[in-house]
Amino acid sequence: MLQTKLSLAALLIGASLLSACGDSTTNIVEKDPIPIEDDHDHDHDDVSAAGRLVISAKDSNLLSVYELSDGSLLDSFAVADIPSALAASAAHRYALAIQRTTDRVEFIDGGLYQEDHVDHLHDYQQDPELVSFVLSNSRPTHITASDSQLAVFFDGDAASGAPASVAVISDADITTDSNGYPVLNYSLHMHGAAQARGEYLISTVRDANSATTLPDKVAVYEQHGDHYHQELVFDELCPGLHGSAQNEHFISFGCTDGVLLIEQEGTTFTASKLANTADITGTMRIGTLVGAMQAEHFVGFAGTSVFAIHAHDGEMQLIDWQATAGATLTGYGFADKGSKFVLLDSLGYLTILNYHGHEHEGTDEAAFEFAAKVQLTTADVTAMPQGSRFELAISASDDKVYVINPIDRTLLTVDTADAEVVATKQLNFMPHKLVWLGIAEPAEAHNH
Amino acid sequence: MGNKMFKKTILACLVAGSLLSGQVSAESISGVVTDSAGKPVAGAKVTVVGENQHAITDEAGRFSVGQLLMQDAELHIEASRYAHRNFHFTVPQQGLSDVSLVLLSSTIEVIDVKASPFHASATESAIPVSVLAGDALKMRQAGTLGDTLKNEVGVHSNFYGGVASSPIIRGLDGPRVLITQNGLDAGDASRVGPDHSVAAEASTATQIEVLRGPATLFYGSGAIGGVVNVVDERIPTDNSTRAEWMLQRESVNNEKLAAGSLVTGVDNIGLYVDGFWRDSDDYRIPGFAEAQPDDDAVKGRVASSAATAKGFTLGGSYLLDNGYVGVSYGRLEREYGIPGHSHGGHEEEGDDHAAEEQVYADLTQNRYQLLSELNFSSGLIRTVNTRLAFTDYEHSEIEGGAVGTTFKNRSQEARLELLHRPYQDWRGGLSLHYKFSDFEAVGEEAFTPPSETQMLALGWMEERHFGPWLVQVGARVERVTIDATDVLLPDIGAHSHDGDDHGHDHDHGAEFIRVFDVSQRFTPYSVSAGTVWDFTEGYNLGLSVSRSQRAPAASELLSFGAHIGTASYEVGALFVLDDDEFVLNTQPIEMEVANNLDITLRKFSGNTGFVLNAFYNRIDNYYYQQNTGLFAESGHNHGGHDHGDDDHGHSHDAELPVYLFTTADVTLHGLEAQFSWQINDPFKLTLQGDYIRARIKGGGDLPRTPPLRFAAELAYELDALSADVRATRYFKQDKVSELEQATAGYTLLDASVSYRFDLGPQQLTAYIKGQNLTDEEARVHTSFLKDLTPLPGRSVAVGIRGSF
Repeated sequence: MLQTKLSLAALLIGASLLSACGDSTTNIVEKDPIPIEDDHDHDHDDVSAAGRLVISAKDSNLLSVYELSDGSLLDSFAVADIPSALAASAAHRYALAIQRTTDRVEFIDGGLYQEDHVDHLHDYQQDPELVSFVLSNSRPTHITASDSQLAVFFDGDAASGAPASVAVISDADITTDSNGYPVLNYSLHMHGAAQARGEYLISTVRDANSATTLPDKVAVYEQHGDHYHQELVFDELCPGLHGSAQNEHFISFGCTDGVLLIEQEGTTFTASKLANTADITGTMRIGTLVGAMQAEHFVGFAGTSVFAIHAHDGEMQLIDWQATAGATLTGYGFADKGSKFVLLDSLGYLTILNYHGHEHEGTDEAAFEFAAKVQLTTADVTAMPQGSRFELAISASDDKVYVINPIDRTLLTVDTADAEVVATKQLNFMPHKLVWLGIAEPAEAHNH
Repeated sequence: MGNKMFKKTILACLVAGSLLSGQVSAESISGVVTDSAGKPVAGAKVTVVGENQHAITDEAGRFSVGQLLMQDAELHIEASRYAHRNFHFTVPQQGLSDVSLVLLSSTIEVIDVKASPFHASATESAIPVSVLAGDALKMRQAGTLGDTLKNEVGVHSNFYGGVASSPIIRGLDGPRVLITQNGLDAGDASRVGPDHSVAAEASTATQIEVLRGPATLFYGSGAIGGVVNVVDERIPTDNSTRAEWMLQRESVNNEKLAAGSLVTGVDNIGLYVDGFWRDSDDYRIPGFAEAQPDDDAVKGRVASSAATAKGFTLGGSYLLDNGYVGVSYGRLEREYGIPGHSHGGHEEEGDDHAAEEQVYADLTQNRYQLLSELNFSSGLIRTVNTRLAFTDYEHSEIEGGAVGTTFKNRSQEARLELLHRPYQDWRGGLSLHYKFSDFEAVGEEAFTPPSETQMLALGWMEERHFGPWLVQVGARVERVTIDATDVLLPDIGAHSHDGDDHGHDHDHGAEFIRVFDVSQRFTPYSVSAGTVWDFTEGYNLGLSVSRSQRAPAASELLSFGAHIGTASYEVGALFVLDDDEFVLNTQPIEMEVANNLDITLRKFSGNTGFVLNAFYNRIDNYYYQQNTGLFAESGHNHGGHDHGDDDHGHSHDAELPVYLFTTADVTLHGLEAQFSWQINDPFKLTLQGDYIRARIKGGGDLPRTPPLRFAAELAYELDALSADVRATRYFKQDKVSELEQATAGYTLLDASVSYRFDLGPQQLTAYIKGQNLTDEEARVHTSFLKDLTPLPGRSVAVGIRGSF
């Protein structure tokens, strides 16, 4: 019965098909045209003010460079190995792809830079490229920057017996592929930190008999051509030293018992210890420090407790950033040209603090004042892929902060002045780390 | 088929059988299978045609099948090294016993094709077919379908750096060769670009069938050049427990392969599971990858040719007395490099860290199938075959960590075959066939706009024996609709590179992209008639004439964009060139029409055998890509030329030649020959060759036409040991199209040794095989990457496989 019906259906279809056998028709309706979005719109004389981002892909050696003015992918580069971290060069022209376990740092030229033409600064915009300059030494780990110099601390390796070293480079060294930059060579390995101060380098010292890889002293080194001479070892101890920062007059190091502060006056360096306050209890300690040239305060981190450290006044004050229970910090830094401090946490919030320490000196007003908390995602943060976390990059040229959300592979642009997410870009890969490159203070327009 | 010619012998046997019959069982047949010398044939498979049962002969050649549904029973006997035979019986109530069935030895390996509703094999078909199965398949399986089949007569590989090679049948590929899995469209994107891998796996297949020449009668438009059908047991038709597995390691690309499948079941339930994993690195080559290497090129490997693939299949079926119905789910994941994808660009001179361009594709496919065969003992309908498939395919091409383009193909297919009970000795039936494909490409390389293609077809096929003549006729009519709501016609600023006007400006900004809603409807038909004439015992002559129409594929009509896989800017036939500017084609879109003649002469019994085949195809309105001589920007965010700085002298790095799909009348003709000689018990010599000529009417040749090829293979097989050595000569191809270069000839030497042994209930085979033993640098004329990726260098694979 069923089969008869099927055959009938088949015959009917067959008849209808046969009626137009060998035939073909085409029906075309023109629709409204699409105006071409001119993707050639950056006037070549205009240099991107928004800057560029370098984003690494997770478990990959690929780095993608995005133009922030239009969100376009400019190019991608493969470095030798999977970068463990990204950092920016002193002038934000180059991105460092730090490949810790394979003892290498490679550099990507973001293509945005400034040249000093004596009577004026001139901005340049080029295509990004992977440059020839490379640093190869054992276990590059902490990178610290001043306005003009970058100190790359190579920890060395107990297993291979490789000693620690510090390379101090400028953007010009990278541009010219120079090997004349100074290097401080240690005889021991250590998980140390260094801060470049022009001719001087303030760097850590570890006791050869120490059971830990953490140093406990700090020394001043002076550059002699391509190497450094030790000038002075401070008596002040800094047990379990970890974390360092600098501002205009001070260099700070985190210790288990407080913060070691080194003050520079000309060529004179003096050390003092700011002891932990009662807010630091149990095993808490300041292990991370953030500073900015123009900021009088350092920001110290002991877990999720954040402290405003005024080196000159010798004060350490807990900052109330209205932490949510269970949140851990995954990113932080001064933003909006130093007028704000941002904290990115594991629950997907960006906390914005207004910083007026450098403006309201001597007033009672807290240096860091809670301004806003921006919820970056409504996604379930427990869906965060293993080994990933929210990461941020902070623009040096404007008030934007860029956050990657590995849960949905997006790049978010946060306007810290308006405290809102102003753009979301879908990435086609799993982002891992990112860094901002560009020109912090674009030159005034001028004619040649 | 050749049923009729054996009738006399069988009748004799039958009479003897029934006279001698002692005890008999109701409606059963038992007996013995012997060779022509009366020696019993063990291990022969005796299948009751039209019923879901078979038996395997024992050491004494004995078999028994019972509970027959029909009085007029037909047994199909197949055994290794013998020609297949069909035997007809009229079974009395008390059954038949002690029938004697005689098989004729054959040097031609004969395996039945499952892709055709008619019974067909290499020796019994009006159109030429070949089947790769068993140990031969296991030895030749490769990471791609093209490389697996490249040694089959009439089949070449379009070698795409060993990662996406797909088979070329008689010089045709792409939208003209259909790839199917168990008779249902593979549902991938492999017909659209040579860099798109075929979503089928050879290591878990039980056989791979090739129908050479038009098979539009069964499969429709897409099969105008032939069909490759990958068969596995994902929907088991019985549930006797058996398993197969293999492990292999290959030296040239460090490929590691593990694959296995298991069929089992209880009661009326059959269950199937398979899985495979293969992982390879970039493969080694004797010289440079590029035919004209750069100064800083590195010898020895082809970059971006590594691949990783894994997949599994689960299936289950309900076994009935009169057939089966089953469903399966399969998942395939592949990640493969796309070699030859260079952009020039940012590597600086003397830069040690020149970034390797990492370009790869990431493919995922989910495939659901339902297969059923039901046989009925009474009524008009003898058999109902049902096949349903749903596939969800996606692959992304990833460059520098970012997805460049994503291709998606969601397809549904249904095929219903209604085979009627023989009427006046005519056997055959109707086939209803529906296929729907929702194809989408998103991203930089989205050269084809999203489109939906629908096909509904009705086919009719009949066959009948007239004495020694088997006559097969068929016709099919289909309706193909292609709907694309957003066909784009951008102004691409195509320009010629003649002269020195490098100062061309691309004139962006002011223009609009025109958008069209296009719907096409085609009603192609196919008619075919064929015969197999058993003109004397052990020989036959096959003759097939057909006329087929093909509706052009969406990609051939609607494309407009850069296609990195072919390194060209592709423009579909919906557009025409008007003075360096593309405009809408106002001429009607024609269907391709092929008229084909195929003649096959076979000798299939005795110590020697051969299959000789000649074909002539005249194809009108053949769609092909014509080089316009223009260049267009790839639109590919790469060279970064749009941020041009004075110090970056970007020339035409990011520009691609523009190819326009256009039609011409072409003629393809050629010869295929296979000869095999069982020299003595262990030694067998096989010679084969193929030749094709593909000409455009009015002068010129089609591009990438396979060269003349000869192969000789000497095989040894005795007891536990088998070995073979094979030399294949590919001759120079200098019949080239405009702007195509001739390709030098080369010889490949392959060899293998296998040793079989038992371990408990398992039969194991350990083997070593070598390919390209002379480490010849070979460039494949049929490859889009001829000048970028030569064939792999010398390779040795060791492996072990087992079954129980």
